Amino acid sequence: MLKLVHIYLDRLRYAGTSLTHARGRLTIALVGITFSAFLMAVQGSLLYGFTLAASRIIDAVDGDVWIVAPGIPALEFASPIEERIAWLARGVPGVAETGRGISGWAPFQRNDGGRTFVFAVGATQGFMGKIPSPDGAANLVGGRKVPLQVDETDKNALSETSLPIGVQVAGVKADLVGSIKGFAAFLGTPFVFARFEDMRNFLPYKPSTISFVLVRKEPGSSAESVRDALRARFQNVDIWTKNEFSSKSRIFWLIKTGAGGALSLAAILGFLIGLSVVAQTIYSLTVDNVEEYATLRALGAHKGYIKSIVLIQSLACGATGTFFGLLGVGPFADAAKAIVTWISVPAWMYLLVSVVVAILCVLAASIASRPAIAIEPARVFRA
Amino acid sequence: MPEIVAERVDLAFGKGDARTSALRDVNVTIEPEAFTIVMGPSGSGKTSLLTVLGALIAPDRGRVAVGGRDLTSMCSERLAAFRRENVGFVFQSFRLMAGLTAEENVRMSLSMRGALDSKKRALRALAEVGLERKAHLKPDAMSGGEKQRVAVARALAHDPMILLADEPTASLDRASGIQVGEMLKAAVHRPGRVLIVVTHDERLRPFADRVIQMEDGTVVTARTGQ
Repeated sequence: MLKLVHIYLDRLRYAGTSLTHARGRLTIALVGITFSAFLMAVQGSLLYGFTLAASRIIDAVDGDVWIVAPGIPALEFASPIEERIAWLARGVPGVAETGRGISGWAPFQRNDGGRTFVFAVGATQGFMGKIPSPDGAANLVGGRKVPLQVDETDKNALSETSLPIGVQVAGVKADLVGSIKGFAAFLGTPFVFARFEDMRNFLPYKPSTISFVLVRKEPGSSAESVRDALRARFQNVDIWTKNEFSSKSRIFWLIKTGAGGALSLAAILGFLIGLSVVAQTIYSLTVDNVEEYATLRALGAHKGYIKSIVLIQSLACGATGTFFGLLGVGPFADAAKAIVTWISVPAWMYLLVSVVVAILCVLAASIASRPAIAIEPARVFRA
Repeated sequence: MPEIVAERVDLAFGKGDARTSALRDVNVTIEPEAFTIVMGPSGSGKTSLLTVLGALIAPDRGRVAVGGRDLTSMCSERLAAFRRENVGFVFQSFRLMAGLTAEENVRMSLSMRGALDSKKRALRALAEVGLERKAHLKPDAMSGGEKQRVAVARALAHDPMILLADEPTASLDRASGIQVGEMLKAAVHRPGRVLIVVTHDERLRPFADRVIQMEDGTVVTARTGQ
């Protein structure tokens, strides 16, 4: 055991010293890996953030099962359905409660005179889930008749930097009373959150229609069984569990739209570029050292010895480059949020990129060690 | 370990029209405990003979045996193991690891062979070539003579039975060349050790117990004494 530790410490020493000796080459390798790790993490975070943003409202609103108009691919395409479905659904086995919601695009009159569109969302009280109620914010600022909320990053897009302030949505006077966090626009048009009762004023919905029904299941029931029961009861509507509707929305925005497709492709390309830079860097580093490996082979080094040296150097480069690359991801994402509000860097992204780079370093080392092993030891006599 | 025997050895490099014969029907026996030098003009096959005798390459034809062990039947990993256990090399261009100090160069060679006390043995080997005070220096901070002495220390540190040197004095000044020659001469006194030095350098002739003269890939003379 002691002998093994001793031998591996000596290998580590040789691998490290040999690596740091050629500083120029090492610097170039580290720059390559740093950039690659950074690129992979940023592209991954963009894609991940976009995925979350694509279903953020669905995920936040409190409903185990959604009933929506047939054929809609995402909440942003909500169409009217009969409001009475919400009352009728209460009689379906497994349903504990139902809520109603209206959502849709509405013109927003800015105070600077400009106009923009917003995506307005409102659900009956108790069903907004993680989205703070506009009523709460309205109470804080002395009460407003038609309170609205917007994500703080979208305040600038609406030219409203100090709240509360009077605005107009679809020609109806309202008050922007507060800003919330975590519900930034991902399509370029801000989300505006209102009370369910006010939504009919903003959107051209008949009094008997709504955009969606939110179903809360009874304890002990599964969302799937409630969904099946509702499907058996109602025709001409789509009924999805929360997870299904969330996935459907993500797939639509990510794959079936040009922007989402471009983003997904860019993320894949970014990852591939990162991977190829890491592989190429490790390979070059090893091939540059091939004369030293020839000497080691001539002195009698076995293949495992050479492989372990290449692997140690590869992993050391990978770990150092990844460390520096990932160091810049957080600050970059914070700065980028001003433009790309949905970017999100989860903690596991750091782990994922580190593991991917490590796996790649092992693969690159195994490929790169081939010429180092295959080298003819007799070449050491050619001066 | 007894003698090295090469019987009817042929070796060629390259393919097709570019194929060049390096050794032709070489028959030679190298006795232990003798300073054997291989001389001859450039391209005469001296270094090729060394690669074959040093288990670096298997001949195309013929047989090379060390102490009765047939090297020609060994695979590359077994040849590597043979070199690791039995052979020490000294190269014309030193072939020291540029990033390592003198001590680390010797030590790395020892640890590759599984030595536990590699540091102690490396320092002792460097002391034997008079470089204990320069153990901390990297090759680029040393003279040619010093580098070659480190290479000799590296070659001898694991106490090999076979010591092979290829033009060990070619890059050295007169004093350093003589010094390296003396070290090699001293090394041959170890019981059973085989020493073969390929050289153009007439300065080494006085150290030789046996001179093998090569020409056109064959041994033309092999005589004892200077």
